[in-house]
Amino acid sequence: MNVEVVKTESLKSYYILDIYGKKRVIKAVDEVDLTFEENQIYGIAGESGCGKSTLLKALFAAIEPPQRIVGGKVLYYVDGKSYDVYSLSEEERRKFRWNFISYVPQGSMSVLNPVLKIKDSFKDFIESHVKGKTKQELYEIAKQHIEKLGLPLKILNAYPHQLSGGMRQRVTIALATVLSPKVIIADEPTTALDVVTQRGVIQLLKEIQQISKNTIILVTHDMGVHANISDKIAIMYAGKIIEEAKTEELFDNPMHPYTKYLIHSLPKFGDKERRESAPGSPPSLADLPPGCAFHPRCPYAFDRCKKEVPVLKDYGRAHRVACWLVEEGRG
Amino acid sequence: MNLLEVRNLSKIYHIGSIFSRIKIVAVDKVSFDIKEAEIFTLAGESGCGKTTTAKIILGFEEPTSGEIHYRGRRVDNLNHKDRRELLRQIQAVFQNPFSTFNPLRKVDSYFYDTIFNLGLADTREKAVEIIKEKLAAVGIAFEEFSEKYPSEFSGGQLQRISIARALLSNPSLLIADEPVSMVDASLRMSIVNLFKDLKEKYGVSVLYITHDLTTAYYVSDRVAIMFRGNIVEIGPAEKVLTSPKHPYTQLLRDSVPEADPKKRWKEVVKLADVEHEEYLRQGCKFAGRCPKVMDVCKKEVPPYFDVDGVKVMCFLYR
Amino acid sequence: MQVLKDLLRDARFRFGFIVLVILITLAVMSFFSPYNPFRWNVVPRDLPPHWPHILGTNSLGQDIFWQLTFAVRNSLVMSLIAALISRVIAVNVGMVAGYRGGRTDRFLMFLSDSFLVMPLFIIIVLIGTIAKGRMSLPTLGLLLGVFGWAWDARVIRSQVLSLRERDFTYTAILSGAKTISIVFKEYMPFLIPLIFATLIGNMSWAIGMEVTLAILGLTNLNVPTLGTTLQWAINYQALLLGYWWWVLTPVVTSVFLFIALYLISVSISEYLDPRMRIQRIGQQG
Repeated sequence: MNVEVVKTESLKSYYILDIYGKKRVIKAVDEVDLTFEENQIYGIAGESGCGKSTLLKALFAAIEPPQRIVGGKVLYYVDGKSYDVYSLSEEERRKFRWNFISYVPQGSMSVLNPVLKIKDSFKDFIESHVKGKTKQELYEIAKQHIEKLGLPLKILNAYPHQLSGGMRQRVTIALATVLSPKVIIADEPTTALDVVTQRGVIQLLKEIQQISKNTIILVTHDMGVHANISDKIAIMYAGKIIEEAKTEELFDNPMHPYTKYLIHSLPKFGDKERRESAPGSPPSLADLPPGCAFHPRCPYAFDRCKKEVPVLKDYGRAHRVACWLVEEGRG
Repeated sequence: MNLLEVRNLSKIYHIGSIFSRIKIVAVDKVSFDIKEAEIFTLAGESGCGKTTTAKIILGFEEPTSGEIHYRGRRVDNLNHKDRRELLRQIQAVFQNPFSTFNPLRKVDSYFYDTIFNLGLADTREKAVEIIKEKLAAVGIAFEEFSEKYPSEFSGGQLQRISIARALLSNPSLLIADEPVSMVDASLRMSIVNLFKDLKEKYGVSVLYITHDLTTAYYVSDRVAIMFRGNIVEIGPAEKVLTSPKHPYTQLLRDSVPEADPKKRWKEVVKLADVEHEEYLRQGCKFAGRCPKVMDVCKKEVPPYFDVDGVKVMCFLYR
Repeated sequence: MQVLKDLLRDARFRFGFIVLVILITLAVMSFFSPYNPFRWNVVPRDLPPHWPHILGTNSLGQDIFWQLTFAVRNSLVMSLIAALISRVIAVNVGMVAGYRGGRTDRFLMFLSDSFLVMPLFIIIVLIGTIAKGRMSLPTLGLLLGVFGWAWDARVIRSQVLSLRERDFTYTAILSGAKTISIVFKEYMPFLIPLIFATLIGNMSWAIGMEVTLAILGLTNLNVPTLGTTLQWAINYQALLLGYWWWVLTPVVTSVFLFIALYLISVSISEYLDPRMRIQRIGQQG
């Protein structure tokens, strides 16, 4: 049993909106229980609108209204002690950011300041978290980090617009990891990139993890990427975790109907057999169907699915599934 | 006769200030044909020139040199009126379904506009009939669609609506620029299958532009791989994608993440560092990253070689 | 009207709207004035506020309240003429320059920049001096309109430039739309908040210019406007002599008018902002 590094307990995070007098509640994260371990790449798979970005923001403790934590906890385990993140003050939370846990947001290429050379972006960033170093020392830290990651040193003297999109993304990841955080959260790091660049970025993440033996929480809807790099995968749908298993186990033996669609609808080389998408489309988080959120699209839905929300249950081999079909053995 | 013929198409951009102008050859003497009822894929990384080529075919950009012929007629130098005529035959869908439509206009207004501007019907009743027919072809109900704004639909639905709009005039050629890259993975196949149906049932040709080789493999008849403005390999999809010959095609194919944990990537890939350096290379543009590079590659630009029904731009096949 | 109800929820709009309604009522009341605004000595002079002269009388023997109704009416009308004329020019120039680009754009922006750089105030003063106080209010409105478009044309042009690159422009082209149709059907909804905000801003500017010119004695001082009433008051040393009601009336009214226009402009702009409108679309569904 590996050491825990971050954990959520029945986490609920909703968006509460008030537009011209009408109130809307978007249940983006609804009773999520996840445990992230050290030295692990944990993948969260889910499509747009399933709540994964909200979950990441909640994990990183970067909540801004109208997003709120409505229930549950997020725990950080640092140096043998556990901290309930949302019962800390903002100042205490700030200390954890980038030192313990870092965040690579979606479309992060725009995070780099366009009028600063890369080395200066690094200097500013490190300076705001580590006191008492001279400018030369800060540049040296940046240089060593870039070298360690196998990126060319000449980029330090370049401006962001001179670099290719893929290189910018990798520089942003280097920036997010320069303080050696124990946990790195990456939100769709390769969505806007083409396959070759995507491969470079994913391989960089893997490299970082192997060197520092830390934890990466990788969120993407691309199951191919998860197959390539994640150790354990959780499938998120409509704000809930509906399946979780080790990667090989998940691909060999997917249990939830949605997971099966996700995996089997992807075309493969050498196989022109007709493949189908899941029918319909994901529900709006502001207007969820009763019972299991997937039941309107599920070809196997029966009565119980329409009334009761399924709960995650362990079926052995660290494989958890939330589905009445599976629970009643009708799969 | 070919439906579309592109001959030696080139587009050169000049960027930079007075002090440092760089010449970017975004499209470099590109030539290919598209036949009737064929799905032809133009594949490559972002920045390879595939979208620019599409824009030139549609008349959104002017070519620097080269010609485009549609059904034997030259179409790269048309005036406004003739170009609008051509819209009945050649239509397009784009990558981002959410920016395809003006968020402040109802989506159906574009449909009525297309129908009346292109002279497809003269009464509202007839227009509605055509719209219903096309919506049915993409699997959207008219009642769900009428009088709604783009923000009331999901990405997958909007993309299908976008395709329906493009089909209103029964075009012979549909240009689809990265049509599924912004659509959720679980919904992609429904749209890609649509293209297949269009070809098989209605005889529409599709110019499918993508960087995703697995869907390209699934749906295309022929494929052209582009790299920094050049077509480096072109031939039947089966041959090009299952046994790629050009080292770049091989790299592209290997880099597609397969949904199978037993088939992980093995080597670490080498990427371009600076955006423009590959465009300005002498000789073969891929020489800087090619694992099989030879001396001649750095000095001369390779010509096309015919290998087993596939054209490859690589000295390895001399 | 749903729009009005929604707007009235905004406190800023409420305030501005109420003030504006009061002022417009005053303007309308001018049609029922018992006194001819051009005549002097129709009432006893220099009387402090009391019934029936609720704002007192001035040294010219006029009832200040009824003068005010004319002043408000004339100022509002003039500024509206100025603002409308300059909107029409700004929108046309901005749209054509933004969409066409190239030489047309460069030429139009050169024109616009020339107008910006011109010492506008001096020119108007010059014209006022030449016209020797015979410039009528509509003419002044026209003049201000012709000089007031340059800045906003540029603002509209940059908005059009960014809209031109958006995908839906291409969709419109593929739908067979002609250029003019694209510019009006697709872009107008985005431009309207801009146009509206600058319209009100322009009105404020026009009123301010009018007041300034009047105080310098360059406009037709017989016509009652906010500026001319103030000019007369200053001319007759009203403050010195303690006739505070004569000075305060135009000043306080002007201040309220500026504030009201500003608040309305800001709240309506926010309401019309495309992002807010998109959010509201979801609500009605």
